[in-house]
Amino acid sequence: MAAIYSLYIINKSGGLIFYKDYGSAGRMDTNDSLRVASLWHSMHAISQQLSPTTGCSGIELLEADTFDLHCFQSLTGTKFFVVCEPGTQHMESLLKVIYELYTDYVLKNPFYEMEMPIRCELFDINLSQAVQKDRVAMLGR
Amino acid sequence: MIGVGKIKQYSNVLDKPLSKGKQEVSLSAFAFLFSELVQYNQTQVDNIAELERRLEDAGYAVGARVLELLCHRDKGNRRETRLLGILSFVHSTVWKVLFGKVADSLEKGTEHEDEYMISEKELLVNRFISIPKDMGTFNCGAFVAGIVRGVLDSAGFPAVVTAHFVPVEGQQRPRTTILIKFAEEVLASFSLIMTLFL
Repeated sequence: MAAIYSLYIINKSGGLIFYKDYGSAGRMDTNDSLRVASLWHSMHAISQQLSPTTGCSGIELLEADTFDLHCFQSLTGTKFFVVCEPGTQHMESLLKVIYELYTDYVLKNPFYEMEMPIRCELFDINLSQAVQKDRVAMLGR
Repeated sequence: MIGVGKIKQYSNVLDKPLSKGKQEVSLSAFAFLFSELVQYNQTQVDNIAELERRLEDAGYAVGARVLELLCHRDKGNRRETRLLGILSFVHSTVWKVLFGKVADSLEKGTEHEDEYMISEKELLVNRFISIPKDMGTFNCGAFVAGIVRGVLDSAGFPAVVTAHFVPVEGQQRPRTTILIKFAEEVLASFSLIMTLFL
């Protein structure tokens, strides 16, 4: 059973710049993923405003009956979030790893235009390795 | 006098030995700088061949300076005058100073006498770069090719140097080959010397 359902990266204005499906249960087309991304962006912003604690940085984890959603926001406002099986471990560290890959293989690539959809071969290769490694680590436990 | 004597005083700055130089710089800083170099040059051109040429020119200036520096620092102001000597100087000394390692391989072209190839599994400048599909065979290694051309040209071995992606079997990523094609007169003088010796 797939532990990670899907990965999203959204830019600071809420546009989906990267989406990868790792076998989610429901069928998602491009429009659905775009909708989820912008919906999450707004919800994240609202949660920041509504939070009783001052200096809240927004939702980090959303737990539902059928999935968990882990979110990581970088200092520049780019959000990375994974939708995974409930109770999946090590998602925070996986998101950090993905952020690192993004800074290396996307931001240091001269052919990438900021805030635009990510189409970088090296990013894809290293990302699938990172996700696999994490899977293997979980299986071996 | 107090405080004098520990450090040797040089009256002439030229007598001072040249510093070993900083051995390592931040890879990230270099990657961002190189990325900006490519992006800037991209705004100045309207086709890929032109971009390749501009990167090569930028590298050429580096190569010319690197030769000067290394000959002074490592070789007591002498430089290689033999063809194979200068090639192995590029392959090992220059590569080590610029990229912290010796190049993966140096080979002689099989089809042509005047061609040599330096291959790298993963060229440092290409570490973070993915070429978009619409740019075809463009390789940012053109910058490194320029460096090699700068070294060879300044050492008296004019050559045409180009960078190419070469697919490797069983590997996801192609390797980069720097192809060196020497000018006619280089090989002519080379064979002339050989006949003099024989």
